[in-house]
Amino acid sequence: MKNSFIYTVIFTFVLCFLFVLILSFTNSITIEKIQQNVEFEKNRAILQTFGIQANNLEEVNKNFGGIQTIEKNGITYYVKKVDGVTAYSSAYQGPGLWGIIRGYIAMDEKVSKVIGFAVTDQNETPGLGARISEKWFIEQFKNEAIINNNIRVSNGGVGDSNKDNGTIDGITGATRTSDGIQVILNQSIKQFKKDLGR
Amino acid sequence: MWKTLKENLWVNNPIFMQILGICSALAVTNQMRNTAIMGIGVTAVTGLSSFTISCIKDLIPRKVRMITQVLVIAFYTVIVDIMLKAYVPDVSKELGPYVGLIITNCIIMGRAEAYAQSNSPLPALWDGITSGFGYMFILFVVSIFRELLGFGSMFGLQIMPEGFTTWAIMVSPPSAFFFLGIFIWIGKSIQYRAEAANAPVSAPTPAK
Repeated sequence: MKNSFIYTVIFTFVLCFLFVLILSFTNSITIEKIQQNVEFEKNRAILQTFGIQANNLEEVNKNFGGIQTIEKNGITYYVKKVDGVTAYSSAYQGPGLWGIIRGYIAMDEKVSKVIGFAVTDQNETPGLGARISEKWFIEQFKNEAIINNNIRVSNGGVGDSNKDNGTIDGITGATRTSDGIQVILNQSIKQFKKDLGR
Repeated sequence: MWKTLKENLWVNNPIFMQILGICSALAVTNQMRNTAIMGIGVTAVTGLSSFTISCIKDLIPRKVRMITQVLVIAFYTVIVDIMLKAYVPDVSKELGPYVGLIITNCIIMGRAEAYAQSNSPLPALWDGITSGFGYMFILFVVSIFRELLGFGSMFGLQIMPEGFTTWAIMVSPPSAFFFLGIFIWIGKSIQYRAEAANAPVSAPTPAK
């Protein structure tokens, strides 16, 4: 009886149904929390590109108040005055080695330098490509000059602190990820120039 | 009970004796924090899956035995993933795809087939948990070396002095291969020696 066709079909159906039911339930009770986490991460990243460290929900909400939103060619730009300069921040995405790298990048209105950079989603190799989320890597972008409409990602190092050379250090041993970042930078600069009318 | 614990932690350790679950052992061990969370995740999934499979083992038709096991394992893994995403999102981001890969961890399927299918629920739960511990133990030791030499830290706290040059190879998976190989070598040597010491004295050779 246990090994009959009918029993097998019914058993599998009932089991799948039960487990999926429990999973859906678990999903529905946590979905709001997860959405909040995603929203929090996004806002925190945008603030990070403006150079503002916000570590919890209150700080994020407090600081987000002063930010305007504008739409250009279907892309949302967040606008804020940073150190006397009007900065524009928007989302980017581009292929990394294993998956898509997503985050936010902010530039000044003349598109002459990058004000800040943040990574929200990446699936790169832990310890190698994943290091793009680390502080030393992100810090390189702060106030980095844009030369000849791009920022060059060099072969790998410990963090280029020279802000005027339009170059940042890639990650040693993570060539494809570093190349992915280069493409993201080029495309973002091009997009910013188009949308801000430069 | 203690016998099972000793079996799964040492004599029949899933990683260096049964050589199972190697994939994630290579990937997450470059940082101790990720290893700890991964270890706990695998232990929970192995224990709970073994328990559940043991509970329904008499109902499962033979033809769909493995499918059912994978379903149960996947179920618990997704729950772990959702819980991580909701309550510790930073850790979830660090572990990324590896949480989903718990489903493919051979140890879990191995225990389900080898033990849970033919034993009662509570022993199966214990067997699953101790196998998870065996896995976690090895990964932990490997990650101590990898994080200390590759980043100079333990659990993110800087231990090595400022001038220490980090060993870049420790950050990449190949280093885990080397450590695992060394572990297997040491573990088996110790066990073979123990076996040889316990072996009965051989009959004396006849005088010529």
